[in-house]
Amino acid sequence: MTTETALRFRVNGRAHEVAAHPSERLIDVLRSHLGLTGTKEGCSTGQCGACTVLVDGRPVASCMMLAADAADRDITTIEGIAPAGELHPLQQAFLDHGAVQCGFCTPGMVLSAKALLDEKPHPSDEEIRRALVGNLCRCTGYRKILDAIKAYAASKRRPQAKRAKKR
Amino acid sequence: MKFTAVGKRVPRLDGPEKVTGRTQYGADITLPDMAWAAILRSPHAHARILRLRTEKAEKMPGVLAVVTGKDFPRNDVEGVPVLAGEAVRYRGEGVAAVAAESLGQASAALAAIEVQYKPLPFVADVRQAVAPGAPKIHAESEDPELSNIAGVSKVKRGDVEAGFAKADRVFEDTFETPWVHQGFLEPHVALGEVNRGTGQVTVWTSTQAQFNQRSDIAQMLGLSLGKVRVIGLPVGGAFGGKIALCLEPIVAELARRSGRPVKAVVSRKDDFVATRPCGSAVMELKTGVKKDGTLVAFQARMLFDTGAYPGAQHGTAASLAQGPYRIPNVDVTAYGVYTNKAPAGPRRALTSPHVHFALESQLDIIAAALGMDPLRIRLKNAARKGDAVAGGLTMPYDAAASVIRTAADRAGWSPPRGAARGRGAKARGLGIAGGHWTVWAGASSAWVQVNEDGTISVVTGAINLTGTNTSFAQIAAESFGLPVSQVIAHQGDTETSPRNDGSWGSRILFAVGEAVRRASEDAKRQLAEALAEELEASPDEIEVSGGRVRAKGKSLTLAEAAERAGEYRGAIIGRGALSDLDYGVAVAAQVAEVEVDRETGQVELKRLICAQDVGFAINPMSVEGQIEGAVSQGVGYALSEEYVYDGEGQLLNDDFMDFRMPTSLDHPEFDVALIEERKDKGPYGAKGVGEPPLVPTAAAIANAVYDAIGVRLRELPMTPERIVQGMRRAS
Repeated sequence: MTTETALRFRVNGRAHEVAAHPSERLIDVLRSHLGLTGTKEGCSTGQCGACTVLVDGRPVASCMMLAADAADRDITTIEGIAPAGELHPLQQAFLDHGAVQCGFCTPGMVLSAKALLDEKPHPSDEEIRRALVGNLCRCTGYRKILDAIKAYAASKRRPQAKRAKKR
Repeated sequence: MKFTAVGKRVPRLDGPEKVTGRTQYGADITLPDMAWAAILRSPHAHARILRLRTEKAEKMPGVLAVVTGKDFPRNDVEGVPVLAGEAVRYRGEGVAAVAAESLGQASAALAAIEVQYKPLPFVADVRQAVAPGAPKIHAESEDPELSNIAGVSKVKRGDVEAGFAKADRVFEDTFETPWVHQGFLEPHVALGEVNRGTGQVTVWTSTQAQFNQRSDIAQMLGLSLGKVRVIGLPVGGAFGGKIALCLEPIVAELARRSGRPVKAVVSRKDDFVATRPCGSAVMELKTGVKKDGTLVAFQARMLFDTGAYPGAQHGTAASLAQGPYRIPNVDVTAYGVYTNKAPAGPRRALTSPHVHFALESQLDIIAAALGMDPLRIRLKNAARKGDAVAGGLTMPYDAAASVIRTAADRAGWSPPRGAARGRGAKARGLGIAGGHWTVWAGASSAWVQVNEDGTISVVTGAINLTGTNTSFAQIAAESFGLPVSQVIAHQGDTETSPRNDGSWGSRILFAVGEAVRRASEDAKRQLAEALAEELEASPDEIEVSGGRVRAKGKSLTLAEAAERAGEYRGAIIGRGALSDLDYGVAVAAQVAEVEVDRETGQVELKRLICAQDVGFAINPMSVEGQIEGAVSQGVGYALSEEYVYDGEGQLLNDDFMDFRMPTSLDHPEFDVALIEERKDKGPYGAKGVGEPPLVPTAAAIANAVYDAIGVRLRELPMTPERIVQGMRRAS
């Protein structure tokens, strides 16, 4: 049997050292070793997006990444996008627009949207749809999810628009 | 009447936990000293089990217990075994299960289970199954003329032959729909544990129906209901796929044998292959019409694939086959037919989407032949109050025509311009379809407790799939005149809540919601009785509203009243229980606008306009969410979702890459019109909303495709390949 290896991860801004078996995936480190069960496993083949986390800011299917490949990188899970007890405004937008039903796709969906918005604060509708194409949702038909993301992006635009006017 | 809490857009109260990833689904739960289970599955579509030995597996490292079908006092529920008996009847059927210290050890031990199979001839589809000389999957057939019949449902009214004799034209068409998975993202999961002192089994499971499961598990394990506790967990999607037993008796029995808590999670592949997907159908329709489009006779013979064991919803199909239309002479026969596939189970709206795809497609075929506007033929025949629909039921009020007209008006309906609307490389088309669903109450109950601080706790045993707990809070808040924030609605388990049938059939808000309303009124009545002496008034003179208790100029806050009532009488717990509300007939109509690429056969859905009689939208945001989600499932059913089998009965597309559900790129522009007649028996005139919107979608899209390119597709899904083939046949 192959022995476990000590791997270092930076998860949600905190350093962790985990003794992981070489066959373990990033999702196993997050869920089993660190108890971060907000990352969901829907298909184990990278096709549903429920396990999406951010690795160095980019969305990754954590069921498809070996733990060793994620070592020494910066990982953000759903638990890490807002301080405990608070909601990120994007999460709030999901609630306000009825974008959450069963909730199983929601953490991955929020993280894919966040990755897009971090890179491109004012995406077009088409860009939003493309950014979410790897995240399946069976409950909502996607419309309310897109509405939530658009509303959040628009709320970020307003203060800038005001500033522009003042100038 | 002006409402303060119902009829408002209230975000789901469980939303914050879900959006932060804190909701604990089954896979997120770890019990102390927990073992893991794995299931050995049949590699054959049909075989006799000659020998099944588990001794070697029992000695494998880490193995704690092994069970087979023989280890259960009763091995089936309604004819569906949980682990195979003498034979396996589909690829993926469970044969044995192992509990071990780790999932790896449990999986490794499966290879040490010795099974000797004798392969048998198998049946791949329903046409083959009913043919003379077909291999028999079960010894008995419910029909003397046909092989492999699991059940028959018939609906007869009037004299169909006399109707055909009176008809000016008679149309005969055959339609087919595929096997599909419900498509929930959370795979089946369950945990079991046994209390060694009491012998009580506790099962945690992702289920739509915890009380029904309690009774099923108790039967299988030979225990009384009190010895089985089922805790319904948050459900990561179900859509009918989490009603039947799956893992529950297995983890329970493994826990009994190993003395340890046991957890099992179904892999995505096994969830596709071996749970309870929705079966296919072959539907032959014969419809007689007058020249003016009046429907006079309707005959249907339909085969529903139930897979290896009973489960096809042929009864619903027979009952709903005529659609929301007035047809005086009806003769429908629907069969459930055995084949060597996974046993069929319910999917949102059961077989109503199947039969409406057939009927609503044929209505357009008839309209085209008569030179009629498809909208007009529907309005002309729309069932009115008192007309017979849905088996023996009648329309409780006029709704069908107004729902269909609303969808058409909002879509800017224009009659077809001939065979096809466009001549270019991309052709646009509009299609309309209606549909209906009946909502039944079933066992429904609720407790409403007035807490000493004047807040309200609602407890039901209804699984909160669609945000019904939020609506329950709204209903109780309305009853007491409180803000929704003063009410908490809990989902209890089988030991901590009153009995409820499962969350199916769009019944929860309709029936359990009414139980919550009645329980709230009962709690108010108890408060009034408790405080009558203090307020020097009779209970009838005491009013509980606006968060206060008032009588003859005296007034207490709800907190004061609850505190004192508690001192005088103990807890104030209102009770609401019912099972017999009048059914609701829910009509939905949709218009689809598509663009078909003549080169590739690709259908792009541009717009979907949905109109639905919802009774009353307690939470309009939630109702819209139900409609949009159901329609999205209908889009997948129409265009891309389909189980594909090879010649050996093996499912070829057992993952999300090849079983193609709609993505964010496939969602159309939705327009949702809620029609609120408020005439139904649910709370404040509400009725169920979750199933009806899936019913017309596939037909509306098929009709739009015909409008665009003049090609009629009688088989779902309408893949690019089928569209191109259809165009070739037409030219």
